[in-house]
Amino acid sequence: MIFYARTTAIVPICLETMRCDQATGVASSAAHRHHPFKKLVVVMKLTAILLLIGCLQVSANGFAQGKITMRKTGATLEEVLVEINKQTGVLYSANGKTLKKAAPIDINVKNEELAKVLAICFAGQPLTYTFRENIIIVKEKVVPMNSELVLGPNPIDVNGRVTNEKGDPVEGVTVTVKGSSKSVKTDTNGEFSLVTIQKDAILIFTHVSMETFELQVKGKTYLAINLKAKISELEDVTITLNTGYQNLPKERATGSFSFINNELLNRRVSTDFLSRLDGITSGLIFNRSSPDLNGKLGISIRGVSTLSGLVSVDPLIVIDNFIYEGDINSINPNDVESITVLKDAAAASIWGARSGNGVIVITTKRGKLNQRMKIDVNANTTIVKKPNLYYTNQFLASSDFINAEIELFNKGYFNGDLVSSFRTPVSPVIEILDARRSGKITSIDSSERIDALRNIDVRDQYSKYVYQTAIRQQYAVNLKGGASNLTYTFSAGFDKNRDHLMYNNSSRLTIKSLTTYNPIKNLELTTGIFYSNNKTTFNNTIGFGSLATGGKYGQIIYPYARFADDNGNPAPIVKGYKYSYVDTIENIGFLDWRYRPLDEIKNGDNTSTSQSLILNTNLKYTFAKLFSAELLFQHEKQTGFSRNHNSLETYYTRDIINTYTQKDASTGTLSYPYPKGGILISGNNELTSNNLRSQLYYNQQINSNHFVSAIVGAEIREVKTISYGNTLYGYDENTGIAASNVPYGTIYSVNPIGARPLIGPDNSIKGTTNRYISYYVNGGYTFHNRYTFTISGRKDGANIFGVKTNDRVTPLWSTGFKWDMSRESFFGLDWISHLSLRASYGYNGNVYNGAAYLITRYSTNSTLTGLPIYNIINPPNAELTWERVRNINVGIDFAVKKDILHGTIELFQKSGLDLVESFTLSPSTGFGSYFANAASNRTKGIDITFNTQNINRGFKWFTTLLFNYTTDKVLKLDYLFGTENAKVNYLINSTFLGNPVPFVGKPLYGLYSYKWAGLDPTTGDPLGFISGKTSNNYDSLINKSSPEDIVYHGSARPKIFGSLRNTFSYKNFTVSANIVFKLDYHFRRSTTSINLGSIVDLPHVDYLKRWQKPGDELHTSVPSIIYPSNDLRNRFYAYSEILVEKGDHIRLQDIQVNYDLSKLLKNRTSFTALQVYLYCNNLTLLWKANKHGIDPDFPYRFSNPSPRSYSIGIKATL
Amino acid sequence: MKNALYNTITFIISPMIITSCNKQDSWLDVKRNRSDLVPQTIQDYQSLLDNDRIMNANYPSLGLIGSDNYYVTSADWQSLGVLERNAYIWADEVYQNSNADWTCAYQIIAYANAVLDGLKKIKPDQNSVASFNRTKGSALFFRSNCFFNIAQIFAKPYHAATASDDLGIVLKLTADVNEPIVRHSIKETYDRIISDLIEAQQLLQEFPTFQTQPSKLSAEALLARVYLTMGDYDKARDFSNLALSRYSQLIDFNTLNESASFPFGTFGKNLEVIFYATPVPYNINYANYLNIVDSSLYALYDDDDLRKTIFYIDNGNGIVRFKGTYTGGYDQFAGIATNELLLIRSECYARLNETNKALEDLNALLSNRFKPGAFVPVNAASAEDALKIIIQERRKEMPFNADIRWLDLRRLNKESKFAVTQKRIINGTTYTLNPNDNKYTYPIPPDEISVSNIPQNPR
Repeated sequence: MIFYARTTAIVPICLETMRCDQATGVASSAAHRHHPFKKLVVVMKLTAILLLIGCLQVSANGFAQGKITMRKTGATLEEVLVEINKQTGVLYSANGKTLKKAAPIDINVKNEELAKVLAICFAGQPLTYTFRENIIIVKEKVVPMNSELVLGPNPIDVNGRVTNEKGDPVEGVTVTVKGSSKSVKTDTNGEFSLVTIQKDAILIFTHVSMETFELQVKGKTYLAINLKAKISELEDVTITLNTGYQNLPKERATGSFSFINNELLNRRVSTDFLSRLDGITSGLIFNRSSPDLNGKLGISIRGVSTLSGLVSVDPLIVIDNFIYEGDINSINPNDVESITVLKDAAAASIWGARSGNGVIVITTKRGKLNQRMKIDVNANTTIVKKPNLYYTNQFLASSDFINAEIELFNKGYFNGDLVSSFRTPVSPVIEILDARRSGKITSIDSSERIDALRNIDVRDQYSKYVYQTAIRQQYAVNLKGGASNLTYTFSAGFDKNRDHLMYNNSSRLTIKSLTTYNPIKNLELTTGIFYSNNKTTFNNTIGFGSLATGGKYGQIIYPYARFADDNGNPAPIVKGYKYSYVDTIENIGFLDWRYRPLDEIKNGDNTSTSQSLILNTNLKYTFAKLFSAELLFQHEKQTGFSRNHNSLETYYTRDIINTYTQKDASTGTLSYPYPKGGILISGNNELTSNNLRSQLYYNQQINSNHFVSAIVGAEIREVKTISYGNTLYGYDENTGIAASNVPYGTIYSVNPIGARPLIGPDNSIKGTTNRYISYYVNGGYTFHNRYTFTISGRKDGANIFGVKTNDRVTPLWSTGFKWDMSRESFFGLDWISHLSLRASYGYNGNVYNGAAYLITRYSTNSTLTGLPIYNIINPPNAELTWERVRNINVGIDFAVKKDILHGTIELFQKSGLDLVESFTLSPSTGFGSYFANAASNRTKGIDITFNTQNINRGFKWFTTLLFNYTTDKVLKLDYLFGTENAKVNYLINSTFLGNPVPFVGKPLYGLYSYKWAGLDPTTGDPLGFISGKTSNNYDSLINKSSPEDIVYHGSARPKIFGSLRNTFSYKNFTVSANIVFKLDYHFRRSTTSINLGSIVDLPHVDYLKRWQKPGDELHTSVPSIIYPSNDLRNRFYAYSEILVEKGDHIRLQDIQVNYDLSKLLKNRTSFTALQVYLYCNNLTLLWKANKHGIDPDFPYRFSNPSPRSYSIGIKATL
Repeated sequence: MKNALYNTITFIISPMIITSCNKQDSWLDVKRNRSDLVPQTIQDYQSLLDNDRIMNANYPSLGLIGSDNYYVTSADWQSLGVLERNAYIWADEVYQNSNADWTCAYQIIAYANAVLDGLKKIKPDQNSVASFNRTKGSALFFRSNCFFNIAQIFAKPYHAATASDDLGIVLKLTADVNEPIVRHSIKETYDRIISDLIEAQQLLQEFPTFQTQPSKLSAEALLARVYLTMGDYDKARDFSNLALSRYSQLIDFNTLNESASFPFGTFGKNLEVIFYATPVPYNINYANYLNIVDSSLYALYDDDDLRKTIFYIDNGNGIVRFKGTYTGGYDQFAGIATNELLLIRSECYARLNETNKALEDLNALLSNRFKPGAFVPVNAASAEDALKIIIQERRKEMPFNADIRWLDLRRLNKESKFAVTQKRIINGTTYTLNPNDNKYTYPIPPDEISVSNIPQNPR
């Protein structure tokens, strides 16, 4: 069993850590393929300097423990170990059966070293122990004991040297003379010497990472000892799960937790911590292809149990003890020690009303008592390739695009734009054609000019002038340690990222300090300071897909746009207005009204900075042995400042000034209502959160059979945000002075047409206040170390509905049970070293952010009357309540002897109850939709984690498999469908990206389509079915079809997902590769519009595959493209069966190579660890089900697959 | 030890006590979003009605697309959106799914209903009764105006004889979204429009502060329009009379700049406007865009008639485009102005055989529309003759005024002497709309039918 008493001093240790500690690596040919980037060399130099600084620190001197004072007679070993734990914080781990074999102990020591105390305790015991990282692992002696210890009269001196399997010296091995308190440690050369010991003495060699070894001296005076690296007992070592309220040993956890240790967390190289969870966290999926409706993080844990856009789908993020409200990117992953993901009710219900989507608890690094100062340095550089702009299908090469434009022009599609008094922009090709039509140029001229444009590809321009290789640099240093009554951690990190878009970059500085102090006995004070400073420069806003011409071209620019002329000077593109108009207006003295993308990048002056400060204190007092009381307070403040200076050179400013420029009809002089000067748009925002929590712990071990623990507490919390905006017109950067006499509100005629008031800046102050009150109780009882019951309850209140308290407060609870079968005496399966069963049941909550009453929101004053005006935000519904999620979880944890295989299998069921759903209302109600707690859904699934040791000799091969199967169904939905056809429209139209489609009996993210009957061989029309017969009556197909006429394909979210991670190690090399898979889901592939007019605003390569003549239907499914448009025909095709593809795919996500230098440098430096690592991310798709070259994670317009990245880094510990 | 335990427990419990009961309530009472507000006061409700982006915008204008004052070329027609193309040729199916005429008008109604529901909970005192009445009257006016506008597009023309049986519109009278949605009869529809307007007329202040706000004047003007549409000329005369007695300002077109791209003053500067509103901005209806003024209409204007140059721009090649919208911008006008009131009263007088009075009103209007010295007062031998002239002048005076022409076509088709057969020619195909055709009633948008399943209009 595992015992623990001090919640604060427990170090989470994970299986993976231990295994990887041993890993010695295998040379991988892949590792040598990395290109030696120049930049990396620079980084390595920097890193070396950092490391040198570190070298000046004190050299290693073994592992010091607290001194122990103890006086006991006839005590059990367990009592002694409990006492040791109380005094030093050292844990122990042992099988209950084993402990009972210990003989009673008499001990009387004062201020004695732990090692000596242990030596006394274990003297003559049929047990032995190993000691590592603050845990004493007790086990039965394997070597038969020489029971007759004869203390002979002729003591000898013994010297020796301890080496490992490779012959390297091992430092810090404790050499103890069995049955005495005499012990020494090996030095850096692995050497030791013992004086005056008995000839027949038995020496015990113990080391943190080595197998304990015993040897009879037999009179030898020099001993060469070869120790084996430790690999067993992994299952005995505790993992401590941090729920944010308490540290819970995994052995007593009845709920579902995923624990990510430091090693695994650092496998990936990234600026943020969140992306590091991808592919290594069971049950957690990144929804890249279909972002959630109301999710900022883009992840979900065990499916989604909410339907409405007003309810967050994000898991709750907790750092150490409190909910984190700030920007996720402010957290430096190098400060994170471990992450615990809480997945079921028993795990997460302590977080109550906001835990329905799961909780991610981040535990930051902290020092340990009696630990000498440890310095960790980490430095790395990542190079990310340019995104592949040529990936998208939603693009037409210039020549094809121009042909479509010519056809459209000839049909009169641009006639309106060409006469429009709005001076609607048309592309250069249309201007040429118009000039030709009106006889201004000859047909030869026009075709020559047009042909000159045919070979330009705007993507080449983007690659050359807009995009660059991104570079991310990361440096972090962490100092930690502790004395007998205090621990400290101090860390600093700096990240510098150069973006893919030229002139864009960001940096982050983080500083953290965490100290615990025991000023008097039983009192512990913890204070933490987290500071982060982020700076982002966003001067380049013209990324692929961000430039819009406007007019008939909508949100795109024509593919033959050039960013630079033949001499490399910035060239203009058509934007906002026709060139012919811009020409004339410039001639009468207006400002340049052209948009030059490259000038925009260069003239950009857009930065934002944010500072985040978290201060927390935690006062804990232990009294009456069984109780401790804790008072926690945290203050979090994040302030942001953004500044976008649009100088007079920027299009933004010139456009505004030109729009309002007044020309005096008689004199022709120009005047400028908006002053001729820059426009400075700045904004401040501030987030303040205060948390106060008080709680009482109760812990009691009643003889060895019962263990009871409980927490009761209350918490109040307030989160306020406020933002101010400010816009200055006529701003001069040199003097900082802006125009003060701008006649806001005055109506002017505007160019090219109309009249509008001069719109004043919106300087309103926006803010939100969220308040919560919570009470909670949480208890656990363990009987005979085999049976554990847990129970927890929580009541939350919030200022949500502005109604009665009863509706503001929601009670939630959970219970769990765990049975450790392998500790039963009747458990007879020798080959299974551990087997336990867990079950839990309970409720989590989810917060609805809407309102129950008719809510109006102030909008900026009327531009006509200047009066204050209100908008109605939502129709009233006084019956709204909180959402609840009922969670059932059943799990098995098992381990096969020698740890060949260990793992977890969990079955879960999550039922979303009282889910807020949005009804589409009939338009005659005057409201688009309406919210009510009327829906429910159920998610069922299996989470499997297997860890195997396939080969464990000099060459090692370990495998981790994460396998998740999730299926969900909507059980109830009070949706008013007036007609059967309404269901069709609802199902088909709602399957937009990211939108859930709740429909009873189907998954929340179902995918539906119209049945496809091929193409009409005579017209190329897409055909569907009406009561079994093929038809091209699109009005009937769409507006009169019933649910039987459509196809349900399945879920749009992977039902099966997970990862397979193989780790190989040989000597100093470790290589690990992660393969991730997403299976059993569908997505809708993009295609061309089949209306000719949309080819210019929604181009797509499928246009080239269009049906053009009878017979084409045999080899294409793209219908004929028609003019004038038929939207129903297009809609039928766009939502037809033919475009739905299987999303299944397998991806080689990443490879990490680690080279451990510390063993090579052992004799020359004081590094306790020194590693060089290489990491390559977003490697390649190994397999995909679709045949269209689409990466199913990136199916949408302008979404390019994440470019491959290469990182190199160095990590050192002193 | 015991003591320490108690002390500590007290220390732990105290935050809980502090946060319990009443204190918890008041602590949780704080507003979440600074700019959110649960409307409670009369001023809050007035601010909802002052939201001119909702309350004075997007008025129905499908009627304008279906009327005969303009045409588009086949090529231009093809470049338009599906809805505009369908509406232009009076196709059986008009919409793709939803339609802004219907949706936006019912949104205005919902705002008005939210205000009326909220005002029920307010007991005005002596000081607030005036503002209470004004807000309530405004809400009733907005709602009635929308009911009336929707009825002109989505319900059959008013026939007194069949009004009780003909399907009218959905009369949404509260903001409750759970109420069943049903179509009421034409009679119920018009009864409700009139009774609400009469109540509004009693509650409202005489003149608006801004032209976007309803007033006694605009309620009476609207009543005049409603009664004219119903063919109740006595009432229409009475209400136009009432309104004109309050306000009868006309613009002398000689004061306007005919070369301006939009000759009329922008918001607040056009003094003929009684109530300001803009229609749904269909591309085909934009001023000076693709639509070409029907040559037979353009030919009706005398060369000395200033409307010929103020309203229109002649690009040569027979392409005449409209620019004379009363909004003074590119939006068409969907409100009410004094010119319409004079024409209503004039028509009523003619129909009621008061020829002189009819001509007096007509000439009062026209005298402001001609070049100096060129105006010759209209004379008519009979009331019948006068009526013909007045009907024609209505078309000439308000050619692109949202649905006015559509309203006239619907009501006048009942009289054979005024009946018009409309024709459109697109790509060689001729489309015809006969008088009193079912297609003078637009279908209800599919998104409405699919949720509420109310009966569809026959086409």
